[in-house]
Amino acid sequence: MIFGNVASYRGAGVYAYYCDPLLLNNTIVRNRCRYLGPTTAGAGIHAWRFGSSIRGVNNIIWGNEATFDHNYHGDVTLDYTLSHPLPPGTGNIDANPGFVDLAGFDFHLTLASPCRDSGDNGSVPSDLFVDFEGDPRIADGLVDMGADEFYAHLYSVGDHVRGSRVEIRIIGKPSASPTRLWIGDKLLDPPLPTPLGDFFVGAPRSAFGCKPLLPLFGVRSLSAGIPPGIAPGIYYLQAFTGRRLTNVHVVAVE
Amino acid sequence: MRKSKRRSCISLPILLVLLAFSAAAGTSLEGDLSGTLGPGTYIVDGDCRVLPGSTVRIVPETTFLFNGPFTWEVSGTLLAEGSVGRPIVFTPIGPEPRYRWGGIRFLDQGADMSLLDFCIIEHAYRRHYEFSPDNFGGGLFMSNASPLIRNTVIRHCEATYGGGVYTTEDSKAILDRCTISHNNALVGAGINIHESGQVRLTNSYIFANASDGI
Repeated sequence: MIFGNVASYRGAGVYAYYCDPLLLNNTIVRNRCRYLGPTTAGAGIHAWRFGSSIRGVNNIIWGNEATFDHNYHGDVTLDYTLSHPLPPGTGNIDANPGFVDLAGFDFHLTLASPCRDSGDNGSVPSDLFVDFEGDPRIADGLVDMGADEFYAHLYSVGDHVRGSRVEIRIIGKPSASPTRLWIGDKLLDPPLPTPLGDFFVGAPRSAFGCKPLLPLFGVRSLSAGIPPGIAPGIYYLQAFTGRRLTNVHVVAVE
Repeated sequence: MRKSKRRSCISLPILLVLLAFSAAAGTSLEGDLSGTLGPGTYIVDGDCRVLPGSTVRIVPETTFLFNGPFTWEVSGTLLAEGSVGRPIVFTPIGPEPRYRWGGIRFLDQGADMSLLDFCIIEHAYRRHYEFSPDNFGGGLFMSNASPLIRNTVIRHCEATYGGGVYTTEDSKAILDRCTISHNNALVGAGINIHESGQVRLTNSYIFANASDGI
């Protein structure tokens, strides 16, 4: 995940200067060049014009800001990549990537994202089994473009401070079965194996039932307040959604 | 290893001041290191070195508070293995510029077996305007060394080149599940990979870094 970086004139996300990097399954978004002069280009990725090139596969390079060639510039070869304008190459697309919350810097893929199942499996290194947050790197048979693989996942957004509110987000495929969320301050070691995956949250734990996932986007957001009286420390969250147990989300409450 | 308890012979006014800042109390640390460190807090009062052939193991929940512009120079094996919610922290003792420290520097192949896992490296500083290797790599500097950096946060560091990380001279570092954020540099705010340096960077966040040069 390469986002929100700033450079003066070029390559705020990735700048290749007399080198030839290979970029696989990156999400390179919302990087910008500070000075929008006549030569400011390639805020996402920029290969310097002498002795430099970039090869990329299975990337999302989108929404970066320069004077021209906002997303990529120079000797750049891209395949199975979402970007704008449409790069020459194989399997590339030019479309909205369908993030959960672009303005809020949440670049998880929604169910409707064109990046889902649009990458090239053959370019994924054989020793890379998980995505940036530990989900399977190739789910449903085909790898997704970008750093995130669409898969049942639980995470939260906000400051984990007593008395404040956070947003708990659950990603998964729509299902008629209800979503369930568990919270506890102990971790089962070893976890409890179940047909739906390993269960990690130890007793005592609190359980919450939720409505089924939103059918179109595969993302459910729950606004939750952290009780002011709760003890500071580490808490573990896990959810059941779409017939699958999610990851364990570890939260440090201050 | 040179470790010494802070002196206890102090006058009453000074004692009152120390009591007011008791969180900063800890074991003083500097010089050539070996053995196991932590858990607890160390005050880094000088440069620390892990020499070739030496091994330093750091356990979870260990904090190093830098009392000046000091550096960890690693030519041996540094095994800093924190865990979830129990990181190993390298940070200045105070917010004033005089406490900005010089980062961790892996200096040759003797450091190839080194591991940083669940560490936090923050507010290191190597930014000056002359061209010198001393100004490269705010948080981490790797030259001809290939350590494994995993689950580690490198943030709010600054250098002339490579605010967060700088690699050069056949370094083949592996960074996995790291967060490199809010670093600053003239060139290469997050990571600067120089010439024959190589980095395998997987499943990591690189965000909110700012370069004010290129």
